[in-house]
Amino acid sequence: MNDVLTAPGRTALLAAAVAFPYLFPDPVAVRAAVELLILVLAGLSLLPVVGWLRTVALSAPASAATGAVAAATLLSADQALPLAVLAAGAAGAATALVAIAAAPRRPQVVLPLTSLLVTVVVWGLLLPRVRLVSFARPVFVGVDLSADRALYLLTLAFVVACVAATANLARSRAGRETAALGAAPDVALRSGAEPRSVWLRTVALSGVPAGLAGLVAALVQQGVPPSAMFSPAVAMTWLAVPLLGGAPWISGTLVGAAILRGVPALTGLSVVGVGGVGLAVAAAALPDGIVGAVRAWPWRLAERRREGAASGSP
Amino acid sequence: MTLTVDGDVAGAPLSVEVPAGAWTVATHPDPDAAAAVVAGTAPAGVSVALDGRLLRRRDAAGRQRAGLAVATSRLGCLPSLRVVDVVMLGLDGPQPPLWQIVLGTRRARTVQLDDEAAARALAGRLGLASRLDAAAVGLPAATEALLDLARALASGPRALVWRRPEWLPPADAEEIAAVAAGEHARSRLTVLELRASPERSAGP
Amino acid sequence: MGETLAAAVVPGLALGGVLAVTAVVAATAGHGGAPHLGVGALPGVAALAAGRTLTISPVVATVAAVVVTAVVALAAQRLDVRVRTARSPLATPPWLADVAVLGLLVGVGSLLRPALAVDLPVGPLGGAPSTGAGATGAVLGLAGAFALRARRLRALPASAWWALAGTVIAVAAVPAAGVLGGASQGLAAAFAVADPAGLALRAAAVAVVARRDPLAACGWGLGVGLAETLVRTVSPLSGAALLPAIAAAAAGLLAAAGRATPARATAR
Repeated sequence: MNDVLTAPGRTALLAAAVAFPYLFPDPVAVRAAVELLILVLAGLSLLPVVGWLRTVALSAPASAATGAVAAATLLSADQALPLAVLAAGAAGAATALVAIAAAPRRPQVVLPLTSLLVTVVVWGLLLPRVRLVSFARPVFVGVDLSADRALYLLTLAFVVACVAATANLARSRAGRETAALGAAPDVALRSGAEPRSVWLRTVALSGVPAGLAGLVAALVQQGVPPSAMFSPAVAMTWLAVPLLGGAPWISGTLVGAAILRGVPALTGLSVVGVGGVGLAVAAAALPDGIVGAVRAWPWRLAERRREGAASGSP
Repeated sequence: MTLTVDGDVAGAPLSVEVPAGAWTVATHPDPDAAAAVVAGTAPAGVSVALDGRLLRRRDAAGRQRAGLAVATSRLGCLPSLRVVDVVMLGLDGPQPPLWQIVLGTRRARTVQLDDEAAARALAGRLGLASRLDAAAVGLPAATEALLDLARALASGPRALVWRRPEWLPPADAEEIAAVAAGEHARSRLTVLELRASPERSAGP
Repeated sequence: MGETLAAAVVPGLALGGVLAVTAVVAATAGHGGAPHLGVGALPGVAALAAGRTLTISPVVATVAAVVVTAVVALAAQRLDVRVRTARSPLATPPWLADVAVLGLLVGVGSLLRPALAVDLPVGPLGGAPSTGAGATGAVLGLAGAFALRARRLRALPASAWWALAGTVIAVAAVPAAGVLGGASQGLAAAFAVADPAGLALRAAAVAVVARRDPLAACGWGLGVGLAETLVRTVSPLSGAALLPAIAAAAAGLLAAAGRATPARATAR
């Protein structure tokens, strides 16, 4: 799809991200960067649903919570990290599927409610009943994840994998069908899209990055994270990531996450506070987010020039 | 492929049989609603048959599988897609499984490249080559009508229901009609043209 | 057991009164027959604003809570209208306006939270009111629920009605949250802070079952408030405190599914 972030830009960004913990080894900075990457994973999980299907989805914290519980349970039982990764992704996808399965008809209208309900149930009913476990961060292929830098690089690897998967999906017929079904459903239907299967596969896939975000949160906490990390208020913040940055584009997710983690870091304000206000600003003033506004700027400028020329001509 | 349409749309009859390889113009007071019903995207009031085989009502995907494409000459706004992506929407070949797509396997990349090459070739033939990498948003109405035609033709249909873009300046509408006529002549495509005018006549 | 019940009654009544008035506001502000998902967070904003200014004086805290909540309610109304009526080539996603308002209120609430806050499992209003304050909050909430459905007030312009609703909610929520009682203990600013998102969900649940009927809103609000507080008193960490609200929402959805009549019009 037509993202503003081209291949050289992606490479430069990746190089900067890899170099970050070596340039800024302060543990506080590295921990903040891990939190930023968790926000990116949350934004990537919402991108196909919010950006392409143009639907409000609030179940990402629930997917992250179940991913965190699955991963923490396995890691506390001394299971290997790859198994925990698979379990976290699968748990996230399964949780997202519950939300879409509860919305068999008119998913664009019903999914916001069912996804909110799933988050409320997981946060309010299930998480308080989960047995609290703790574990030491494992050693993975010779790298000791107890160091914050190693944990950052592992999280970055998850982000890179999810970005690549999202880009691959965007380039495929499945991705095009999803984007068309959200923006112009008639065109998608006339092009042979099967709405039910598009919704199921998109929402299920969206749960995987959220589950990985939960895994990273569990690794940071070395146990099941506190339930406040997966509350409905957090769902607002996570929803603000794609909406503020530009929901249909990967670059939009990166911009949104950078703003929603950067502003609190610079001002001392709470992430949820900035996220909530950012969500309101995006909904009111930035229908295509910051990236969408930047992309439309040359087109609008040309239009204004044309209008100016037309009004100036005799 | 013979296309038969019979029933009522928005309170007015729509009954026409288009012989295989022919171009027939049908008129209706609400041709947009008629196109939507025939496309299977709106509640059905008509039966649609291809070579005598009745198609399920309100089943747009089934129509494409059966070889019937519908171009309404309207697309709307698709901000996250390029023009070439819209043409590729219409392609109807086998796709790799989802896990291969997500992992970006060689097979998935090959299918993607083949799809894009086919879409670019078709769009070039129809006169869309210069705009293929632009975003499919804010397109001129004539380009939008041509692009929807290209999308519909991308699946290689045997029958096409085409809503003539009568809202365009006559010269633009004629130009697009000439493109459609060229494809009709090239592949002996069965074409049902929907218009808003009151009379029914033979096509080009 | 008797003492447990008695301890749960006052906070339960206080929460019930606030839920009643907030559910009426949510039902009235909703569109297409569904309650507004976001506006129910207003009591949380009021309680947090009061808690933040409590160190100055209880009077200032009350006035600040009323003013902040009224202004935020007005901003929420403008946001709601703007998102619903946005002119864009693409349709606005369903529920985006509700979620944007919820985001705004949760965001403002979070910005009002003290930097070092401790969440205690004392309920979504964030505090344990004294008997007098709790009863006052309950009475004001119940009275506000009926007042806001009065024909003369419903005839007000939408922005004025929303600001008035914010004021009424704040007047009920501040005593009900027990914020003012914390002044003497010096606790309220940092401990037991309100949960705007949780309040919004409970208000929406009550509004689903009570719709726009103030009497039903009072009944269901008090029922949910008392049941939740009782659950919290008996088993503070069980995670079952949300069950009464979920049960109310389920009852409302089942009743709606059983009704043959179409959804009511959106006009107030």
